[in-house]
Amino acid sequence: MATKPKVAFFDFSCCEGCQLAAIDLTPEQLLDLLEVIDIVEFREAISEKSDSYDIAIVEGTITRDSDIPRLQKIRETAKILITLGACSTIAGINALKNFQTKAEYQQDVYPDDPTKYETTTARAVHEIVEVDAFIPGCPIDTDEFVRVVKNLVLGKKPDIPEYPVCVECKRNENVCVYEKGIQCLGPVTRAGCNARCPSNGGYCFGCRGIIPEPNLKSQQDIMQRYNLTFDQMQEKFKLFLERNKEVFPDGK
Amino acid sequence: MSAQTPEFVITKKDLLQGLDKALADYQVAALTKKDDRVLYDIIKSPTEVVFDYQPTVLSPKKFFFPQDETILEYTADGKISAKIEAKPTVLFGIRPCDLNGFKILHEAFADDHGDPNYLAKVEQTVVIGIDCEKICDKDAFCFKVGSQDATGGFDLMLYEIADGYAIEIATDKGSQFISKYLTTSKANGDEITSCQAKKAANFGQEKPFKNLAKLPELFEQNKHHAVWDQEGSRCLSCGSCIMVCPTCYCFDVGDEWQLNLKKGERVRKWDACMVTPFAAVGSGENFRHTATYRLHHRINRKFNFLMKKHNQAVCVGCGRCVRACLADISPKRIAEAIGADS
Repeated sequence: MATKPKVAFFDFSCCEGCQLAAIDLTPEQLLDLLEVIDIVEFREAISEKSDSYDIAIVEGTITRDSDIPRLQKIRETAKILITLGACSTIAGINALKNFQTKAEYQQDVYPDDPTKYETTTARAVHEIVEVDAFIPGCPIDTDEFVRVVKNLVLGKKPDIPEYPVCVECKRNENVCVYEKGIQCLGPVTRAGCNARCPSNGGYCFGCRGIIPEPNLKSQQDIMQRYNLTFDQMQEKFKLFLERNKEVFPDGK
Repeated sequence: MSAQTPEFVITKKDLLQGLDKALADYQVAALTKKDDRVLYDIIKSPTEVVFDYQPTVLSPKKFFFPQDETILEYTADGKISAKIEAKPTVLFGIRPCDLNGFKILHEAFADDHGDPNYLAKVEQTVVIGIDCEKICDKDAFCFKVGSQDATGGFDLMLYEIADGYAIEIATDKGSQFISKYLTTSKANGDEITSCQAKKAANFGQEKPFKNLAKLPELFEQNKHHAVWDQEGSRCLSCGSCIMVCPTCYCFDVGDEWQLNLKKGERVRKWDACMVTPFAAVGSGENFRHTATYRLHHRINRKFNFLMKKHNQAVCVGCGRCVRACLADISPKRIAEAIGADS
């Protein structure tokens, strides 16, 4: 390898949990990671900052107009821009507020001084600037983050699955959660998490976003066949998928 | 099915003791319970075996063709070595549908290409089947596709009799397993015939498709039947049917470098022709771009293309895909729609 790519992490509105998940590595892995990339900015791990980087890894949702020039500057500087986690990839749970009017969520969050803080419709990074690769999930899967880094260093396209969670869930030999009377978004949600939630007693919330060409009509029919009213079903979709025009065609 | 003559009978107690003895030399996989699941898994003691069959999510094909398997290891400076992993294994209590699945898997992996990873596992595995006395549940349709009896895929086959099992021996490997591990006594010779009579009574009117042998022809004639779109329009393209299928053997191969980029592994993992990207190519074209095309392809693999190759329906009627399909798509219903039974 000639020179190590310079990598910078940036965060917008989020809990920064995906940054922590990215370095949730064994000490050996962490040293190996630093063998192949040069981290120049990373708020959760180092105090240095840099104006020069090859790869920008962006976490968080764009929720203020003042975020936009900052994001555009990052895009101009980086050769490759990658989103990290649900918030930057699909706007994540921050987009729940988009189901309310601005006045409503301002009032809900800061009842004493609703207009004190700047805020607007929550958007994913790709709605503002071009994104080269997406690492989805809430939080991201550390192994997947490592795979993406390796692919980029090797000059390969990051290999994010385009099939749904059911594939991984069945490979893990789980009894389908629908058989237990629990409704799950696994059949339309992008895999890559090794079906983490349904394999550990939960169900899929859809945090990795919807697969390309989902059969939403069939998914909705199934959820209703398994005793959800239309409204209850919509609630399940709302948590992570407000920005998806196929799921919410009338969204902001 | 022709009546086999058993050479030996064994009491259940002696069978369990035999399995216990085999545990010293083999890993033993059997139907067992884990958390809230019944599945084929490695057992530590014969007391863990579940004898009363309940359908499992995955078929036991995973012991010959695992979900993930490393086939090569390599280094950045160009050293490449094949990796073949196999352990002495007993697969105990495999049912006729899955044994017929093993037979098809064997024809695909052994006869055509001689896949070394598969062959190494087969060589070290003793398969002990148990016949099904009755239909396991409402979704199984082994009897429709000629798979209610095992036509191969086993070394020993057990038929339940009072206080134990009659044993049919299919291979020398099976014979050697008996002499080394099982305490048996001489059979009368009519035990399997009586088991089969009982089975026939339990299966009753459930008979193979009238046109079973003609399925390839029927599927060929019905490429544009309305059933394809009726079923395909509900399909989620979730791939569950493929993952659970005992006879699906497609895989994808990828390279996984270690993070230090000094060493890597070539891994093959199960692939699924029902998921959207399966037939997509580098230029962006997708040769089977709708769920209906994909479903047509999958079902034709089972009852047409591969049926001609294997001389038997390549769907063994285990019912796993029917149970796994949230959209309620069934190969049996599709076959019936195009005239399998009329």
